[in-house]
Amino acid sequence: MSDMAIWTEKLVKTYPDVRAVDGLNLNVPRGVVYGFLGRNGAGKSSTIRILLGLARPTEGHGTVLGFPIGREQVSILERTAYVSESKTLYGNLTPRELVRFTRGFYPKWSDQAVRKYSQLLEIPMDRPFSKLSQGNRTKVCLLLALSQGADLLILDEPATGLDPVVLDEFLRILVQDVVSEGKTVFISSHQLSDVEQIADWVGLIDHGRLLLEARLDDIKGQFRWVTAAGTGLPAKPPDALLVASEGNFNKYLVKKNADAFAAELSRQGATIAEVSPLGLREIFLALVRKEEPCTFGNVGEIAAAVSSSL
Amino acid sequence: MYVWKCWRDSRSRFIVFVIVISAVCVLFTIYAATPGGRTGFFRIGPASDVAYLWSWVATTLLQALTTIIALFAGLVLAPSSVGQEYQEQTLGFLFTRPRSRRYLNWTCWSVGACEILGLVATSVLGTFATLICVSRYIYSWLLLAAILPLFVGAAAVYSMTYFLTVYARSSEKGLSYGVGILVMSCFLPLAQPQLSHVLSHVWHGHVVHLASFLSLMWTGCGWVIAPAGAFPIGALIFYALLALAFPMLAQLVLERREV
Repeated sequence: MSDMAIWTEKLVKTYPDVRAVDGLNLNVPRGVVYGFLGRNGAGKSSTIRILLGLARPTEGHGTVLGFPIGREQVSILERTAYVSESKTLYGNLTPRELVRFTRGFYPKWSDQAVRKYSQLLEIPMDRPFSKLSQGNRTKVCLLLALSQGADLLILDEPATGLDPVVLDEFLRILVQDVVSEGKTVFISSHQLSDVEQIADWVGLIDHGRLLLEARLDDIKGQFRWVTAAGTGLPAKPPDALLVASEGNFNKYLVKKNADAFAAELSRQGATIAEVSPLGLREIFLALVRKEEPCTFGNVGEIAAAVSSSL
Repeated sequence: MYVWKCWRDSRSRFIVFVIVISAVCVLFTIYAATPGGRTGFFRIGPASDVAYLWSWVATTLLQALTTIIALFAGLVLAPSSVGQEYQEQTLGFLFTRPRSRRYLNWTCWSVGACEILGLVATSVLGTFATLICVSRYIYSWLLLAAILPLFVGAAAVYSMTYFLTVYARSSEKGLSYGVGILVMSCFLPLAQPQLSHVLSHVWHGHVVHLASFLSLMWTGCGWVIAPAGAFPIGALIFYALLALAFPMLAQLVLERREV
């Protein structure tokens, strides 16, 4: 557990009208970029709030950087930088004053990083935060997070309002300056293309449940759609993560050994129409989309299946 | 850090109050001591009567004007607290700084309490210094003791409003609740006989005497210049405990509340 940057077990968070997090088991290794993906309202921000002590879990437990959630929260916060989804800071303070305010909380604070990133991201340091554009507000939040010298960066929708040039610069900073120093980046987003550029691991969440947690390379290199036609096609083969029906065809999402899987179907009399690779966006849509029913019923089994196979 | 932030948020109000309260104390003391000041509303005895001048300043100026201004400051300074963070939705940012909520709560409260103390001390010291200048005589050092009841009374009001802003998650709501309670606490003693009469039908035990924040401050200020009766030590302790109880309650609320 302590070798994980973030670890949770059966994490549950219920509100009076909704079960925001539903038995979440997260395993975020140290020193990686972890893309925490999901639709709006999937439970991403609720999970993050629990990790940071802003909300208490209804059930379950976990650790952040080896410290138990809720019990050693100050130790967690000393080592964790957080950019919130709302990007709300003190409106009457300028970025320079916000730096002054934040600096005192962190022993590893780097003024050098402030100078470097404020220039790189072109942040107007002397204008009140409330008068900044959405993009500049995001930049200020990122500046504060990057300068803390944190071991873990938790970024909730960090790309909000950033133009493509700044976004590209920011992603480059994350990879070159943060992850290269052995730090962990936990990005919550529904901007799949941004995450796909830099993520080592991805976790897909929907309705508070983890649908998938895997290395991005494994997804790209081994995950395949196997499209088959025929009669008596298996409804729930053990090697398939997902089965989707399209007319006379069944599409099987296979996590590895797709060719062997296709051969097995052929032996059972099926006609293999296609074995195709798929990107993060496709797998996200396949797992999350409601119009393509998941024949496994309990999607949580998918995460369990992937986790056990990796 | 957070001390600086709290000071930055409230300093303009604090400075305005210090200027207003100092000006009021100094000018009214000078006015009371000058021959022209003996006419009109603020009629006093002969200016040469030093004892009368000191007594008038202590009982009229410190009791009335300073009390009202200190209470007002207590109400107004409190909303720039953690309650304001709720309203501005910056609490998530604040609570993800590596400090306990207890620390943040007490830091915020302490800055306001120090400002109240500074405000009260400035007014009393300013009055004291002006009185010495105009009368060229130190009639009673005890006048400085007026700081204590004034501070405790204003701090109790400040703490109550502070807690209410946290509880209501809003500066404006907390302030309006505080004003409401303060007004009620001033009027309740007036209704004491009627309330006692009503209570006597249902309750035959001891009925607690309802005292207002004002009564503590007025009695305290009156005592410092004419310490004949007993110093309101019981009320002082009660309001001091009250002033400490409210931030404790605020801490309990903050530690249990989700953001």
